[in-house]
Amino acid sequence: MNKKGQGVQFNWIFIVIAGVFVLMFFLGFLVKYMDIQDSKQNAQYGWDFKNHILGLKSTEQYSNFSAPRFKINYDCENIIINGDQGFSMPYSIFMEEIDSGEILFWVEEYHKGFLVDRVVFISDASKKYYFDEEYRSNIPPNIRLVSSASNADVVVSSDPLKVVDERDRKEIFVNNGMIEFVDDGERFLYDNDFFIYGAAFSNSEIFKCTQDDLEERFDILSELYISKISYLSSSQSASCTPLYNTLRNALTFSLTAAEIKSSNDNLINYGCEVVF
Amino acid sequence: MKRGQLQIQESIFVLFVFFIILVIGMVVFYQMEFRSIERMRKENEDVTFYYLISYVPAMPEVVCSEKGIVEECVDLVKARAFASYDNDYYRKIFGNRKIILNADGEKIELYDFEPSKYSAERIISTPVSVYNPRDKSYTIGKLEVYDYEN
Repeated sequence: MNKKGQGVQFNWIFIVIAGVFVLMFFLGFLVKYMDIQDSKQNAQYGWDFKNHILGLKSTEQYSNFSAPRFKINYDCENIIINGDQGFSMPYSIFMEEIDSGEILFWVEEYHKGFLVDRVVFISDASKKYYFDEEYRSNIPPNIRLVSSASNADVVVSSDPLKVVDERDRKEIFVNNGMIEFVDDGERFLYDNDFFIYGAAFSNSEIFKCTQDDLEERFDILSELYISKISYLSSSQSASCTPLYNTLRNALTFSLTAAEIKSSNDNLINYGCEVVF
Repeated sequence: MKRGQLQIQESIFVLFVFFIILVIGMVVFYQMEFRSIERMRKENEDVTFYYLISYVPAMPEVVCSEKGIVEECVDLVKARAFASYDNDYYRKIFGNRKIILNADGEKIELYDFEPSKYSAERIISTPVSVYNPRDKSYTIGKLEVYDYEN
């Protein structure tokens, strides 16, 4: 090969190497740009989701949330959008992993003698639920209820024949004050039908931590009400004092919701100011 | 130096300048992107901040109730009890904020976590109905939420 030919060949090698560098540079930039755009979008979904929950929590209600399909995980403290952005979620929530663009929200008050919190139930809006007749009356209309357990994605029943551990659906067995997640065999005591809905919307792990969170909130509120009792018993007539003491004991020893409620309601019968 | 070598050196120099311009462009672009992300975060924090003004008076810790039925007012005695309650539980809900209820000539600090350093302070307020169980009277109070920006 002559010298001119070598020079032309070298030029081509130089152009190819430089071209590869420029291309790699632009490809790297493009990938990074797409990552940032995805993260931005995930962050926006997370914020919308969080603010939507906060907006709902002032009162009992239900609503739907639409967005392009995305994945939400919840680990009892944070929600994680598309496995990327985590947002702290310091509220009582019943939900499990969702992969959908249509999400339903339902806010329901949890009472244990008094209002403890408004809890948010979140689910994929396309999920079909089967509940036994006795648990159907409280359910809002944006939840898809089916009349046959065989068509449902989630089955909640006291009938052992309806919860036979089918693989393609979630099953909750309710029996003798006990909720059982049939999939993993986890069992929980419950004293309020509210928790049956909680089980239908969550998995055993989330269920446990939300139940614990509500218990903590109940303890805090009990302390606040005990302070209120001290204030009221000093400002009301002496005949109210034994009634306030009964209520104080019910709160101190975390008696049943019915006992707490009746101790409070009883105050009004004797002309004393109710505590809650 | 031969003419061919000179041409290659010239091309390398052109490429070098091209890459430097590209890097500068990218740095500027990323800075703009991060600024827009920061703006988005602030806008969304604003929304959270404004939602708090309707969330706080409806919290079980301060809301009025009679025989378990919630009413749209703030219970003065519960608010006082809540103000004296020190618990980290609410830190995760309210963060770096301060919440004050002005009622009956009294200033009740429901929650206070004012950071030692902050760049800006914002306040929103709303009138609230305040119930005093002692004399069963209702007055108009003012709920203020302070937000501290770092």
